[in-house]
Amino acid sequence: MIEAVMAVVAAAAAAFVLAPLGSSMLPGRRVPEWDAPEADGERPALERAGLAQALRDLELDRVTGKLSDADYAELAARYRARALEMLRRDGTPPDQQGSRGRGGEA
Amino acid sequence: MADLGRFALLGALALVLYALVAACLGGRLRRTEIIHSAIRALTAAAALELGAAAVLFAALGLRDYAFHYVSAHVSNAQPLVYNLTSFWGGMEGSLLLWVLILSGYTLVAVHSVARGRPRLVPGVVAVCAGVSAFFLILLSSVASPFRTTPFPPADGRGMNPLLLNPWMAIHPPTLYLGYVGLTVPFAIVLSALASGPGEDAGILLARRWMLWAWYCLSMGLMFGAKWSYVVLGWGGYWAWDPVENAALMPWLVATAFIHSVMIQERREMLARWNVVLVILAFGLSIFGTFLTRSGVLSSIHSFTQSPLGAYFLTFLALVMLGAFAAAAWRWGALRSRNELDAAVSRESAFLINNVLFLSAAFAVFLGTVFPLVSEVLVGRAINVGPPFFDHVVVPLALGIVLLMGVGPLIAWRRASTEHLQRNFLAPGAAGVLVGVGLVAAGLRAAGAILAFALCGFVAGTIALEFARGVRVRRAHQGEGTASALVRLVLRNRRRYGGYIVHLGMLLLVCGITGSSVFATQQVVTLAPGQTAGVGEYRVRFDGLSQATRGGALAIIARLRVFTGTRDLGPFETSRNLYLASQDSTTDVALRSTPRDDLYIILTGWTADGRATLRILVNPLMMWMWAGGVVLTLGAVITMTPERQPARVEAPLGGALSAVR
Repeated sequence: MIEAVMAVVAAAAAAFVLAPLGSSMLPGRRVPEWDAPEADGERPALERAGLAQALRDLELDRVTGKLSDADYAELAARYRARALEMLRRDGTPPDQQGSRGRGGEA
Repeated sequence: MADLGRFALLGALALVLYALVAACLGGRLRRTEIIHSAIRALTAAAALELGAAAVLFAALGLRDYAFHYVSAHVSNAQPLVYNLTSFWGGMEGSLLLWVLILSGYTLVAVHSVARGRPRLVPGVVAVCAGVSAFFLILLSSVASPFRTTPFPPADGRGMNPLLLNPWMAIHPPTLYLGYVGLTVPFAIVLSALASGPGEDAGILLARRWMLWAWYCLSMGLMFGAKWSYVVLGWGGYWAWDPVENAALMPWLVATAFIHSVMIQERREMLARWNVVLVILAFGLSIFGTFLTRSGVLSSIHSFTQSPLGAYFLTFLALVMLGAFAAAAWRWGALRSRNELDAAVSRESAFLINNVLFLSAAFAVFLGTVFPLVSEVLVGRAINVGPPFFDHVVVPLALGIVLLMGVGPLIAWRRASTEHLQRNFLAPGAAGVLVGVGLVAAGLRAAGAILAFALCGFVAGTIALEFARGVRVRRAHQGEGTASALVRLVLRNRRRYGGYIVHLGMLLLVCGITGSSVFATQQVVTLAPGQTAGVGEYRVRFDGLSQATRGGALAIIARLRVFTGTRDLGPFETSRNLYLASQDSTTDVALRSTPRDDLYIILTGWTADGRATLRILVNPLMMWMWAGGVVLTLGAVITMTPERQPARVEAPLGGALSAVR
């Protein structure tokens, strides 16, 4: 009896695991998500998220009195220039990228 | 039934090995269907592991003494709940729990990684399957929970009575959730290294998993400390025991990572450092398991001497070699893309913080393995003991507390002298006030005064951060104070959740300082009716009695406690003697208040009815446990994803999107 249960479980597991291999033989059954070439887009995305966070941090540090207006102006200008350069390159402003890196700190 | 369990484990092993090979192959060939098949294999393996766990639970619940594991950890007199929790009370069961948790984590991780970074999925599947395979090999061979005997005994030995406690029922699973949780960031980072460009993204993705593992480790450590305090009956909660240290080391490294990864997020710096921290944290979790399972070091927590130590050490060596080789291979791609703008900045504070955390972890590691090292070098196992840890780790911990107050006051990137002076004024004054107040109150312990003063400084920093955020919101949003406070936290969960975690740590530091520096105790032998005084408490001994409970003969000392003229009521402390196993446990008489704990243990008695009592007054203990609750609140806030605004104001517009 136990042997029969084991055989059924083993057969069911094998069928479940191997099913994607079989279905791929059928035309039009490819699942696309792991085929997407995302690597090329990751570096700019990270840069944009980092820039957005940097500008946000600068602003927060200024309004909470941790950064002088002069330092803020200098650093913000530097990051603004990088943002503009990115905008020229990608056509997307850093503050609209935003989901990652939007929080504060831990 | 045991056959089913063995079959389930062997089947799971076959499936994870298949998943490992299929994931590598599918990732290399970029064949979606093969990767899908690998994920399905992990799902089927998880189902089989659940089946194996169900078999073991059934055997424990039904007291099927034909199972060696059941007869070793269950007895007829043991309550059902502890029969079931003995699932993780022994080595084989705890390994099964480990692999079960890992399978659950793996499936969740695969689906979350597939949403954000699908390219990392094959690597995550392969690494998690590889780790699972190691544990399943042990479970299917040298550490099978399904070994049986043809001649089952009529009763089992039961668990060590010290483990029959609610805190011990939840301490191991919580700790395992943390230990095993470190596998996921490790898998993500290794996958990112193996899959080429975009390593940074993988490291950042690992952050949230690391946070979860860190929180579980924190709670596991807290539950273990609570168990030690209320069950072991020695009046303390932390003894620098090797197995305690084994859990502390990955916690320290994970804490360092949680801070340093913020620099990577903002500045694209420290990617190499973060990779090393993730690998180390995982390695230390396996090392901790090795310490617990091998029996190479004597510990109250250790399972008995077993052959598993060599397996764990070999696995650890192979994994660390492979992981650091992968990091070395991608070392160039992990270089920092920015430099520090100024020496005095939030980034610098975080760097020092990391150095201190890693130094503490190294000191704990050195102290823990010193008996092994000395045995190899001089042929004699030399234990360094608590004084070493206290002398080395406590100053580092105080440095970390100082940085908890300093970091938030310094701007990212650059800090001007004028602003530093202004920002440090109030928190610094709070710290000085606390220190001077304590000296004026008559305290002379310099270390404790420094610790409390630093806590005052950090509390001042946290209060200032909240006050400033609320003020900005009130000014720009026109909200009331309470509403501004709630929205400030909810809209900046990582930042303010983190401050709440810091607050929890402060309470913890206060509790540890108070209870370790100012504890007082007295050992007295009293005849019935006699009274002893410790601190403001007077304890009257009212006599001894006996009872049989839970398979033990209990010798009970009846007490009445007074403070001043106030009667605090009757208390009992007992010694429970388990005649069958020759074990004994202590039930502590405990009265907790925010000010102190009165902690009384029955250490001996005489035939003429006299009792020897150890009476301790441990100040501020309740603060320590409260710290765990506050830490949980902060961690939950921090881990909850922030709601994304539909539109984000231009960051340069000065309209304070940061606190919106």
